[in-house]
Formats: sequence, structure tokens, C-alpha cells
Amino acid sequence: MSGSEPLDIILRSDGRDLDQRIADAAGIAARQTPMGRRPDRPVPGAGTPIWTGPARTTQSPADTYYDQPVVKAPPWGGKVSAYIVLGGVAGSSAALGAAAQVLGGGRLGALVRSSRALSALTATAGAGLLMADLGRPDRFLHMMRLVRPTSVMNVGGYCLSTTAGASAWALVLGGRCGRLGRAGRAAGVVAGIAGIPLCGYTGVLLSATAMPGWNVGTRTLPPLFMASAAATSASALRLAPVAPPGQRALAVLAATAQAAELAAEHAHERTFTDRPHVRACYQTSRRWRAGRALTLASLALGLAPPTRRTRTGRAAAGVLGVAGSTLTKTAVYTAGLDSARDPRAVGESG
Amino acid sequence: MTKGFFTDTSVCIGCKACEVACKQWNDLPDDGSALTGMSYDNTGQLDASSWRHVKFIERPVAREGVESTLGEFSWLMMSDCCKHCAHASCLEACPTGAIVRTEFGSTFVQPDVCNGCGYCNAACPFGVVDKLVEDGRSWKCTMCYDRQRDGFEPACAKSCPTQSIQFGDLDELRERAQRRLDELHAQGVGAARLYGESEDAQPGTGGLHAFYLLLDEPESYGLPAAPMAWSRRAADGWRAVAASGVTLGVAVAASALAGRWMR
Repeated sequence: MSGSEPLDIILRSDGRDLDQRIADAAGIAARQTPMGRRPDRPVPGAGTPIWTGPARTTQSPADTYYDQPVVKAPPWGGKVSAYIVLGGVAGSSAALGAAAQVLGGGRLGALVRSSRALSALTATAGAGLLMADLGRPDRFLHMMRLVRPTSVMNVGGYCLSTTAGASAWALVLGGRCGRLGRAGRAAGVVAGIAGIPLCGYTGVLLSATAMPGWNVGTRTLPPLFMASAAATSASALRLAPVAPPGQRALAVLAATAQAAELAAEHAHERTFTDRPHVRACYQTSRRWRAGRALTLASLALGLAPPTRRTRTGRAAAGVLGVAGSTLTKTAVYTAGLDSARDPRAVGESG
Repeated sequence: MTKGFFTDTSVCIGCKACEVACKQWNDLPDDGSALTGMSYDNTGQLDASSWRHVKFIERPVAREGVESTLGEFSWLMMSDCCKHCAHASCLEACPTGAIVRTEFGSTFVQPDVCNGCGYCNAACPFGVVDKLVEDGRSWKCTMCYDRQRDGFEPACAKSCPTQSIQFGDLDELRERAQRRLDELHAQGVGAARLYGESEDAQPGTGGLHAFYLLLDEPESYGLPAAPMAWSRRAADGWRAVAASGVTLGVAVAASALAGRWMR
């Protein structure tokens, strides 16, 4: 198009005059168009009640802008919360499976199979939840376009894919003889190695955000999430048909992980003792308190001599352990989302 | 050449021409109508469909250095937008590489790459990036990348009738802002301060490419006092994962051995 041509002005049906050389009528901002509002959805704000109270005035200097949030909570719902639990279980059970496979001396066969199955199942379910959250399966592949060490989510995506794939191969091939069996057992080890960062990265993922309830825990959320993941999978596997040597291994892991989880919870709480607005997000959380109580109960049941030897006692410890660690993790998740709404908590973060 | 915005809130009159120009140029979706009770601010927030947001603060104090018949009352107005941080948390957090740094130094979300994970929404220290429910992707101010490519200034700056929003080379804007600040201080406006004008002033973000002259504490305007690129916290987090990972490895190995050696 030569510069001497007159401007090609089109009067659009909506009354705007656009120069086609500058603006693409199909989509303007740098050839991008957010999709318009869908007629079947209400316009946001249309349902907002009109403010009829007195005008909101502020002090000077005001510590907030009309109590409005300063940061945006991530647009994640229950699917991501569930993924954070399932991804942790997938990673820690893969690590346990690999350890039992390599160090078990052939006595922990049932535990190896159950761990692989739990890992493959939860990793696949977790990946499915993430895809559902993104809306379309192919969007998950956008993360595989590149390797991005600065992005926790990108690194975590590779940990998840590796663990999910390797656990599935280990589950299918691990029991075979010959070359296929060796490949399956190698996959089990790969899953175990990738599983360790898989159960910890979600702690980094949450703590490297602007949510005050999460970013106070840069150093405390990763250990809390990893301990919680190990406690959840050890508790869940106690419900599986595992022979006594395997049960012994699970009892040791569950007790260690639950003690570590309780210690990490305590360490995490200490990060917000001097931050009242962040503290409030946790203190008002019933899940946070219930999680700790159930984990303590599970730990006691698992250690007490009368209950630890019976099948019912182990099952009860397992159920309570899964519930306790899951509640603790989801409590952290919701406390972070709650803290995003409090502009004063943002002032305390860091 | 790094371009930027210098928003001088001392001359903002709250006309919202910037909001309208932005919305029209970028073809942004309708937000409906609501009255929020927050003075004349019925936009509410920066989000996927509002890339400029004029804030109105009604204060029970007189404005410094200004003759007024209002008595113990004054307005503060401020046109907010994406800050285009030098250390952009959204860009670093983006798992797909959809958020890029343009040749003008601004940050830009490529809509064909964005997968709608929403992690940038959480990473932004200012709550700017937002996922649009309707199409499941995140959107924010592009600093009118398309207009800049064609040699035009962004729509908001073009439409601003008082030159509250100034667009230009970042270095030149910084000098201009310092001169304006000195001028206001000379007029007795002691509360005037710059926000995010350089890396020295705001190390957490490395300085903002859209920086501000404010007349009160940043919190009054809904801005964090010490914003930071949260994505950079990940390094500490990964160190914690490494330490805990070794512990977890030892724990599963010890458990397996405890099972193997059980009599």
C-alpha cells in the first residue's frame, strides 16, 4: 500500500471510524481480540447490587484503596486444589515404589506394585484435572513448547509428565521377565527420581506468587508439602493389600512423614506470627486445625502398640492420615486465596 | 528503544478518556454497569477487559499547595495500568513463553500461545493480569504494541487531555518526572513522590516502565509499598525442595530397609 493513497476509512456498524492500515477490523489490539461477552452469560457487574450506602470515604493517608484487593488470586478452583494433593501422592508413592524396588531385596513386591499403581493412577488423574482446568487438552501441550527454568509451573509440568509416564510403564512392565521387565524397573526408578521434585514443586509454585498467605512460606511450604505428600501416600497404601514387611515400611514412613509434617506446619505458622492479617487467614481456617488434629490422631494410632498390629487399627490410621494431610494442604491453598482479598495482608507479605 | 509511561497524578482530572480510548482501541468487552460507592470509580479494578482504571480517592484533608474552596477535602485521581516491570514476575512465571518482552521494553501476552493457566495472575505484584472467563486466556495492557509498531503513541496517552499520561523514551520520562517532582516540592507539595521510577527506588520490580507521581502513600492508591517480582522467590523455594528431597529420599530408603529387615 503506497503512502499517497487516501486513508481507507470504514464506517463500521458500531459507528467507529477505523483506518484499515492501522487497525485490523477483525481484531484490533496487535491483531488480538478478546472474545466478546457471550449472550448466554450474564455481564459481570450487571448482577452487582448498586451501592446505596453512604459514599465511602477514606482517611489520609489511607492504608488501602476502599479495602479493595491489591493482588489477584489465581483463577483456580477445586480442580487445582485436588491436583496439588494428587500430584504430591503421585510423586511420593513413585519415590517409595522405587526405594522398595531397589532396596527391598525381593520382600516388598506387593508394596512396589501398589506404589506404582497409586502413582500412575494419581499422576494421570492429576494431569486430567489440570487439563480440565485449562479448558482444552491441547493447552497442556503449550507448556511443552519450551524449557523454562524461571517458571515453576513449566518445570513442574515436566516432573508430572515424567512421573506419570514412567509410573505407568513401570506398572505395566515392571513385573515382566527379560528385557521388558528391566525396562519397566528402570522406568520405576525414573519415576521415583522425578517424583521427589513432583511432590515438592507445588510448594514452590504457591510460594513464588503475590499471595501473602503463600509467599511467607518460601522456605516452609516446600518441606510442608513434601512431608504431607509422603504422609498421604503412606497412609493411602496402608489400606492396600500389602504383606507384613511392606506394612512395616509403610508404618515407618507414615510416622516419619507425619512427624515431619507437624514440624513443618509449626515452622510455617512461625512465619506469620508477626503478620496478623496473614495469620488471620490460617487461624479462621477450620481445615487447618482439623488437618493437624487428624494427622496427630493417625500418628498416635499408627504408633500405639494395641492398634498398630491390627488390620482395623492400620486401616483407621490410614484413613485418618489421608484425611489429615489432605486437609492441611487444602487449608494452605484456601488460606492463600483468602489472603489475596486482604490488602493489608499484602502489606505484610515478603 | 525502551518506551514507557510517566503518569503524573497531580494533573489527572479523572475524565476517564484513557479508559474509553483503551477500551475502544483494543476492542475490549463490555463490563456492564454498576455503582460501587467508591467515589466516581465504577470500573473497580484492572482486569481482562479493563486495561486502564482511573482511581478516585476522596480525602478529608485539604490538598497541599492548592488554593481551594473545598475546605478540609480533596481529591486524588490516578489512571492505573500495567506497570511493565523491568523484572516482570508474570513473564518469568509464564510456563508457555506466551508473555514476552517487546522491542519497546513492554511486556506482552501472546494470545495464540497463552494456555490460560492463570499463573501470571497470581505472580503479578499489582494484580494486573487477569484471565477472561469467556475465552480462558489471560489479558492485560499491551502498551498499544500495535500502535507503537506503526509509530503512534498508545491510545490512553493520546487521549489524555492534561498530559497526566505521558508516553516516551523511558530515560527522558525519568528526567521529566524528576523535574516535575522538584517543581511540586518547590510549590510546597511535600507529599509528592515518585513510585517505581528506577531500579534503585524499587529494587523488587527493577523499576517500572509505567511509573507514577503520587500525592500520598502508595497504599492509598491501592499500590503495594514494596512490590516485588515474586517469581524470583522460586530459587529459594527450589533450594528448600532440594534439601527436603534429600530427606525424603533418605526416609523412603530407610522405610524400605526397615521392611526388608523385618523379622
